[in-house]
Amino acid sequence: MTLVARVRTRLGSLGLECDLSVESNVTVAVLGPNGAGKTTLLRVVAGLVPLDEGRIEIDGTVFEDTPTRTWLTPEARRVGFVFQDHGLFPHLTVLDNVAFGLRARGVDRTTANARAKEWLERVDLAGYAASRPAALSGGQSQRAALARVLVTDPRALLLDEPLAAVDASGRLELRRTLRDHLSTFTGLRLIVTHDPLEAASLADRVVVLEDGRVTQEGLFGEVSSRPRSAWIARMAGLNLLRGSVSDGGMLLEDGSWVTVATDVRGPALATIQPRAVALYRKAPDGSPRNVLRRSVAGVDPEGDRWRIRLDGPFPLVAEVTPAAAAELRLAEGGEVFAVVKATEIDVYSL
Amino acid sequence: MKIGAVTPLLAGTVGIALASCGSSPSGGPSGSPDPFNGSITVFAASSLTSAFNTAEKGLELDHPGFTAQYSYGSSQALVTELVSGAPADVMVTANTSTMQQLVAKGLVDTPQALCRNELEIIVAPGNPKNIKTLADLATPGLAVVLAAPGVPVGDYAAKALAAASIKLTPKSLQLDDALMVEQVESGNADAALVFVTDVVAAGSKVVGIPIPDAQNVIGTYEIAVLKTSTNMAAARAFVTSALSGAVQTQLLADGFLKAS
Amino acid sequence: MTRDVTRRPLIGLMVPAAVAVLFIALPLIGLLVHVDWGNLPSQLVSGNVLTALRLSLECSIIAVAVSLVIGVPLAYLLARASIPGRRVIRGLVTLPLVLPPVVGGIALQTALGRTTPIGTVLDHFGIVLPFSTAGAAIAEAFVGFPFLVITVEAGLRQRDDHFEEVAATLGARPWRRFWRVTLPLAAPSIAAGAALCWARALGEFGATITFAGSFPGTTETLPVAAYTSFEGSGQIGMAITLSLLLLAISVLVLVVLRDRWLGALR
Repeated sequence: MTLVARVRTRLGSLGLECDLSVESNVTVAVLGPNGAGKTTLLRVVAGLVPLDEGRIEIDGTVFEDTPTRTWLTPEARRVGFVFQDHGLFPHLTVLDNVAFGLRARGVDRTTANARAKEWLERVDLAGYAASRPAALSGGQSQRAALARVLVTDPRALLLDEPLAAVDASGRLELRRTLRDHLSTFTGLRLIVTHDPLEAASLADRVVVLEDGRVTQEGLFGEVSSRPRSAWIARMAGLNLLRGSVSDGGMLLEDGSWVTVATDVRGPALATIQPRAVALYRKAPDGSPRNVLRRSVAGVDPEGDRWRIRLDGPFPLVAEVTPAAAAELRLAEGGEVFAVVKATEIDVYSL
Repeated sequence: MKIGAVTPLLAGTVGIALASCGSSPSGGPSGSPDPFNGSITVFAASSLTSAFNTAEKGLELDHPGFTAQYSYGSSQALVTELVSGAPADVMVTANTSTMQQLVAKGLVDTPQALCRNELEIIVAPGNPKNIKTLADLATPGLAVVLAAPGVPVGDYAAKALAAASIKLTPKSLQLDDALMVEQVESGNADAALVFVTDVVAAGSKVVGIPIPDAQNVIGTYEIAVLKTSTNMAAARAFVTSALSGAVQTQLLADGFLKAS
Repeated sequence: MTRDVTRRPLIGLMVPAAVAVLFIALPLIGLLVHVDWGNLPSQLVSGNVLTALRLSLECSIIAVAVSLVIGVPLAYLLARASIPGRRVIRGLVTLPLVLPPVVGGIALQTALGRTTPIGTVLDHFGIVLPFSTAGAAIAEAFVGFPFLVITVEAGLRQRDDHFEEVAATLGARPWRRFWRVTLPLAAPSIAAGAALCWARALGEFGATITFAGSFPGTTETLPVAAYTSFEGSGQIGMAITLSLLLLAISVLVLVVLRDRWLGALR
């Protein structure tokens, strides 16, 4: 089973323009900052938002096709959508909630309730059948919402920020539950999230969506080690440089020059790990290293690794030990020299 | 009220009436002030609306500086208001029993008969249901509206029907003559028993079927000055005009019958 | 006084609030003081009073039922659907609120009276609305139904259609979404609207007496009977008794039952 979507739609100030393809044995996570259009994308697939232009189909069943004005109503698409707030009906019991989709399809009450009960047991909520959704914790209501969708045997599973409405203590457990159910689900699986950890733990493939457009896609490891946009780099905790490589060096966008060791030539991206940026108060001399004059913009203490934000022609983040930060009196700000070895700069083609 | 107290009052009233009889429009004989001065409040049965409103214009023209405010309503409701202490100068009822309530409570000078009114049947123009007599009103299937018991025209109507041994089940017992006319006019009621003056006021919107004197009930309107009046002179002058002056002329012109 | 600082009543607001309470309470207390308590029992069981009571309950309940059947769908369309002329329709709905009730009664006459097109059709089936119990119920529905529509529309607007979307993705078609999701979730505002509509219908006088008239057993509802006692026969005592009865019923239903209904609906 394959979902093929060509999406062009405008919602308010957001212009969503992306092509997406999802296979049934690969969980895809659409990852991106808030406002990127991820939820809109999901809603478009579910039929809650119309396309301005494009086509969505799963294995020949056309959901929407603007040239021929074809449109399948949401209720006819058989897509299981788990909403960010889980969307459990407050006026129904948990059991009636889970049975809702079956009843909507004409299944009689007895059968629907029996199948709903089965699924409640599978998500470990059997004791809550008669409770109201308000009595459930975040993790429990997410599992109930999942059961409600899976009991209807949908052809695709769409999860909108599955861990967002759950507090930190419930997330670990829920992540494991989701992984289990995702792996046993035979249809298409599409998740959207702004949290790289969710993407990394639940998905096989990642599609990065920023400002309505896809900026990168691939395996999570690939994407996070070789980011192609500032956001991804930030998410991965890397410094990102953009420029053009010629013999011995890279001319950056802002005009500055760094020495690099690479075979790549021409337009390229480069990453520097924060811990590879060494800081000095006085310019060091000697070996072929890049010395960049910067000023301290801010200090973010994080455990035993303090992140130092540096102002300059391009943003740079260094990581030092608390002791080093104290010794250099970085908290007071001021001028520093950031030193990066050429070998620590990972260059790759644009 | 004792007879002894009444006489000077009557004498005074007659005196003023005589004085204003031969006077010029702008007031009494030169030297005495025009009693028609200031403002008064008149509570009057709603069937008097048209006549009093027309007469008022004349009064104000003849006596600049005078104005009367009228509060129209069902005689019973007005009496109840006065008993509860509403301020007024003159009261006019469409029957004697409601006025009696004021007399019993000592709130008015001796009432006098103002004029009389009799009943008439009204039907839609063209008389589609062909009603000719009081007895025709009892025809089965006819939608007749009467006024409720306690409302003067309602009591008169009941009396007339009883005297003629006519058993009539009306469709509605209304409280307002104008509403009854409207219901006949709009065709929702086939007929109603109202005052002759209501028919005159309605003009060509309805057709009146006269009731022979033998079957008709004639009701007497009474007028009285309230003892609590704050403008006695003007109140009495008004009563005089109503009994025998410009206002009485207007009443007769509108279809009311003389008091006797 | 509670220990919770923000829940303590603001002194400055207590004065106008007290005035508000007095504003409502004093006339009611005045009414209670003037009740002829001695004669009350015999007055209450007199034929006319019980008939008027039965008639009032009958007509007001029919009025609410009619208002629910036509008002809830209208409220839904005004709140959720993008039908043309919404603003105009909303304005029309508030018309009975601003029309003097007697004018409303005359308006009903011009639409449903015996000589009107609709009236003529109804006459064929033997239904004559003026001077009938049905006519009284319609007059009451006319004045009460705006309260229902406005309350339910406001209630529906407060919520967006999130749950309807959820239902759609689960395979529920529009009619099912309306019955199983929209209506149940709107139940509190429907109940509140129905209560207001019923209270207004119960107390209606002007439109009733103009359109349906007044006749004991057919159209003389409690308010009409009270007014007739006062205006016609001058029996103020009876008028007060009837008003007291109206008051008692309203208090019973609106105060005592309201919380139970709304509590159960949560």
